[in-house]
Amino acid sequence: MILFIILVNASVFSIEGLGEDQAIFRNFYYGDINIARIEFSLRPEFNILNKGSDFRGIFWTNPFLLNMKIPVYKGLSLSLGSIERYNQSFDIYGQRGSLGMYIQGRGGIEELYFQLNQHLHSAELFFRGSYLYGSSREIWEYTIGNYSIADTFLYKNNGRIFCGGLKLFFLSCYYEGLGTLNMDKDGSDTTYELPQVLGFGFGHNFNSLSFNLAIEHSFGGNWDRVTRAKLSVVQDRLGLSYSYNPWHYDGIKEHNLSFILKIQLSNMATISFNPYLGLRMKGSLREFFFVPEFELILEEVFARRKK
Amino acid sequence: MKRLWILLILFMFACNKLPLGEEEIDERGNFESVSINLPLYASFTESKEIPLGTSQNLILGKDNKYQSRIILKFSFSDTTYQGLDQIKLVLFRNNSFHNDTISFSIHVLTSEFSESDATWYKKDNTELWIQPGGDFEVDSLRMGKTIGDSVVVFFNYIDLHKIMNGKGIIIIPQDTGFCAFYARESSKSPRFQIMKNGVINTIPLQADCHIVKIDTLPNYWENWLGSGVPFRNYVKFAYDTLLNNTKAIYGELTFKSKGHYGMRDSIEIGVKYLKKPYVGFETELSPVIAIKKFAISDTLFTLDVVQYVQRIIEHPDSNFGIFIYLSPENYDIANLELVSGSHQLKVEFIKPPKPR
Repeated sequence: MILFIILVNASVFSIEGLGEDQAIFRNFYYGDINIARIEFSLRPEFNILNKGSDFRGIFWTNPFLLNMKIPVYKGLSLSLGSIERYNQSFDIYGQRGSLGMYIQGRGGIEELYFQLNQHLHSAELFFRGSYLYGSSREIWEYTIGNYSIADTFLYKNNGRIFCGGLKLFFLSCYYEGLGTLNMDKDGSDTTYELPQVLGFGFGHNFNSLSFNLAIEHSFGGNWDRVTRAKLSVVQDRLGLSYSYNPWHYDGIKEHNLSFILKIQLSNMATISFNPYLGLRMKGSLREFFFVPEFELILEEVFARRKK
Repeated sequence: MKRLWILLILFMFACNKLPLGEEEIDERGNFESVSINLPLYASFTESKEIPLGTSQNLILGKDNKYQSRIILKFSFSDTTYQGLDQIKLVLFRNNSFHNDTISFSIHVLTSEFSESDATWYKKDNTELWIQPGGDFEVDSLRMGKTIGDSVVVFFNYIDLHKIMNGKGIIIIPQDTGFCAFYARESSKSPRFQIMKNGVINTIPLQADCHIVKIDTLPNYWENWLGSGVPFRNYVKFAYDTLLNNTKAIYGELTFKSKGHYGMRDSIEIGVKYLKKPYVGFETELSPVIAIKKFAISDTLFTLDVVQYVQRIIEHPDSNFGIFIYLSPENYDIANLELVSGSHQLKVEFIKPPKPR
């Protein structure tokens, strides 16, 4: 069983499209499928927007996610969970002549998924079906002189997406597609085709050095075709990773540098501290962010109970 | 160093409102605002005599334009009051008004009245007074003068029995000028007190109201606002198709006055829009969409009626106009004569954001 709680981040660029895609570089493979695990994560984000010599700081905390994994029978495991798929939170001030604007978005699109993994010797297969749901609220506040007015929009989302893949020795691949999302705003709805993703992974241990490379190509729908990559190196309890993540929307690029520190508390618990620094860019607008991610992993809980 | 940390923390927690990233807003539309003036389509005045039983004040007075009388009814439980030391009526002045010192007389009412329906002409919702202004005994019980923060009128046993056997009492102004007293709807209601052996017993007030008459109503085609006898100014602006599918940021309604009449330095002006086509004073109205306090001597008035503008943007076929009025219409006696044709409605609008 895996319980995964996370506080996800938000960006000024989340005003665009479906918002910030949170479902990138995910690991669908469990490796030793018989080990039960519970994971807790905490990811507050500190953002600093920068353009020229101007800076603006924002602190975000976001919702709570859950993931459960149950080993079933002979290498078969079942997972059920919820994560935030797209984050649609943002906070922007604007000025157009005498018109002042303050726009806030809160919420996003959640993903409730059901996943089956089958472990066969050196291979692992998985299939995942996801139901997308959730809502976001936008408040558009306009001010001219002494006059001020605000509009509130509520978006209600529902949709689905499917994913499947195979891992063989140190190579893995997956495909995510057939995704549609229905977004309802004030009684009128729009259906979006979600981006498809073709992902490849390479992971291998060289002595005590663990090396992982993930490449994802996203395409389809009315979204930009992008390719993102992540490289991580971990030795014992220390590690480093770098990722390049262009968004689906016009010209937004993100670079991430993450440090990994794992502390073994006992035979059944590990605390992982993964602070990462990132930079999102679009034209001359830059968004620096710092995420001090804390992760608590409990393993073999149920196995020990059986004893 | 500590200051630096405080500044850093404030900075990290979004303590500035710089428009950084504002170009991202353009991803959701073009937000240049545009302003237009909607042309005036019609304006005139509606008036109606309304019951003033729910007013917070009881107005007493008269001049060459208005006259106002106070009607009170007390609920006496004992029919055989004996051995009383003192019988008195106390009214408390509302000093937020410019109160004059005026003489008045108190008479016994000879007709029943309904507080919630009585007007100068009607004693309840169906029947008229025999004499407009109330049916009362010609001979007064007492005379008095409105001096000081409270007015106290003493009665004797004969007066008390007349009051108890009557349908109430009416206070009639004898001089020119006006004076406002608190009604039971406010904190200091009129009191009828009897004292026996040093103990004061207050008789419950069953009903109170004032009734107002005006000598001449304004002409229909003129533009007036009034309270006491309410004058509502109906105004309608023509819709402009430029407003189609837009979001109004403000709707600045302005108009001018060329004369005022009132008992206070300030007035409150409210606006409601018509929910149904105009049928007169009783047309179904929206809740208050704008209300603002002004000096009564102001000559230029401005209110934001963006809710009206937004309604006609969303329902152009429901542009039934607005009523401008003095709020509350039963609070005092006042009026404003507006300059005909001075009404303007300036609207600034933008295109609303596109969906995600």
